[in-house]
Amino acid sequence: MALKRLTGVTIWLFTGVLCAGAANAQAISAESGLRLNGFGTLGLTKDSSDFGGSFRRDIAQPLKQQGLRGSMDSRLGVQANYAVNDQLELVAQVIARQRSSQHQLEGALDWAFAAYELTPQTQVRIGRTGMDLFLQSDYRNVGFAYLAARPPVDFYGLLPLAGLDGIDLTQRWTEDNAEWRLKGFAGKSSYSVETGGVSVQKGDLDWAGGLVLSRESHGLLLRGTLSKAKLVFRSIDISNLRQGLGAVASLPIPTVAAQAAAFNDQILFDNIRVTYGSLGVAYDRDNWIFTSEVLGTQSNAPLTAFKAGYVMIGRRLGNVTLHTSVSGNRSNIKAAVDPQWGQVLEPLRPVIGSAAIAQAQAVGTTAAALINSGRVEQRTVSMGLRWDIDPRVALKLQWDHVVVSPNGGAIWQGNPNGGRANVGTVLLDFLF
Amino acid sequence: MKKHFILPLLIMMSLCLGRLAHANVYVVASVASQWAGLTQKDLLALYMGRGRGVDASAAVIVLDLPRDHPVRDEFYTALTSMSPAQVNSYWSRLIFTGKTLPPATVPSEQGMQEALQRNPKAIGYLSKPPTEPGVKILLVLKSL
Repeated sequence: MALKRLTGVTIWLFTGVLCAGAANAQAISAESGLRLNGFGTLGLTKDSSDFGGSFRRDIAQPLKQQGLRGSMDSRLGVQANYAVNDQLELVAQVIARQRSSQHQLEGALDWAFAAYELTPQTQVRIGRTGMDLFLQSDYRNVGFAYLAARPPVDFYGLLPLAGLDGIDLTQRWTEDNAEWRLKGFAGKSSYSVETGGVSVQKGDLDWAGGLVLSRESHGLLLRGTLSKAKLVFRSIDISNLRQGLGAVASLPIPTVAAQAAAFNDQILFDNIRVTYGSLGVAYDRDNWIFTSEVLGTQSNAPLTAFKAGYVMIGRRLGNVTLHTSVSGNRSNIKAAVDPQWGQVLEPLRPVIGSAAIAQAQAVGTTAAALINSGRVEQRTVSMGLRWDIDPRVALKLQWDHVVVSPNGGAIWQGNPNGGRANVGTVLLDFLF
Repeated sequence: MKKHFILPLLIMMSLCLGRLAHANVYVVASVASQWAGLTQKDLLALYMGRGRGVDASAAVIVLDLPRDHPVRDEFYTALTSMSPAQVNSYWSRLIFTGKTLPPATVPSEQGMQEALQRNPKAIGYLSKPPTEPGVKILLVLKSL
């Protein structure tokens, strides 16, 4: 609560100073003052899949019909920096983009923090910042900042995190011509998931914290992250399903009872604890670009644990850069098989009755479907180009081919058997 | 037919020569600045957002020209060997993640000199040697 109040006060304080700064912008000297910067993307995406699923940038975006869409990648962001003095700066960033229906307003202010330089190499920030989990997560909305049409969805699409309300501390140092950066962060955040079939919609990160270590030298960036979070999905009500599984687990048929208990463990949506570990490498030198990341998670809730990775290679030819990438992800949990409890429980029909057997079967089928609808297992091959038609405008073309495994389509939904999909994208990224 | 090529060729050559003549960029500071000179490595760190001090003891105010100013492109190309689009992409990653403060902008080269005269902690660049008193050259960047 104290942290929440502190960040709330920071956000309001900073809004006030920012307004005052804007009013006096003309009077502020060049060395300390208000600066406005913006970024945006105009995008068109066309997708088609043979399993009825529809493509999206991340799982917070609503599921729409397949076809031509401009809303997925189009967005507009403005950032204000106000330097109070040499050490203290206030920063706010607002992005207009397609969001989850659950986060229309509260997510509108993406960043709002006060940054204080304790020394030229040490910075502390308080307020709402990005959740700096992976190489591109902090600037995933700034299309001009990266090469592809969007950060790989197999990797970045599964963590639709809103801003982190909290504190971070960064220490920088130079050693052997390499720039090192160590950052620790802690705070609260929220989580949004839009699904077609099951009503998991909104969650909160009650606590999240982590460490980021990076080393940059001669165009080579190495980065490792370790973070932990405690989260809960607020808007899901599976108490009836849990009750049903509990009843089946108490039946005197060991195989059925064990399976029901296992299902009950797998559909944990409360008091979830997740650990994320990731390693990333980015190389940009002599007109070759190489980026790769791997991610592993561990969790007491199997549905929030998965592995993901990608490799991207690009070649700059004047103002045009060609690139290709492969990526993939897989839930740690195996796909649930629809249990045949109706048949196995048949000998108990005289004791528990036909209705109970039918109910047990329905509970098992629902639990298996719920687990499978949350699983991810897909692979993507992408090819594209970025043409810098102006120092502040880039045109991008990209084609993605995605193979979704059976019961691995949490990003797409659609038929649980999975299938293949193609996505074509043309977009303009710009800075202003 | 060949005559038709002579004029465009001359224009192109004169443009190239004009560019050559203005290739140097002068990194400047107040005469009251604590530095007598600066290495290109230190300058790169300052203008690419890697630390705000040449050493830990003193913060530097880094001054930049407006993003549509032609001397700005020349300066960053000479300093980093990157195209203006690459420099903008790099800086957008720093600015929009709040990792570091973008350099403060002054409206013109004249404004740059005046700001440097006022502030001994500031550092900037010019396309020609300074014309105002109280401003000294720390480093000359050659963009060829």
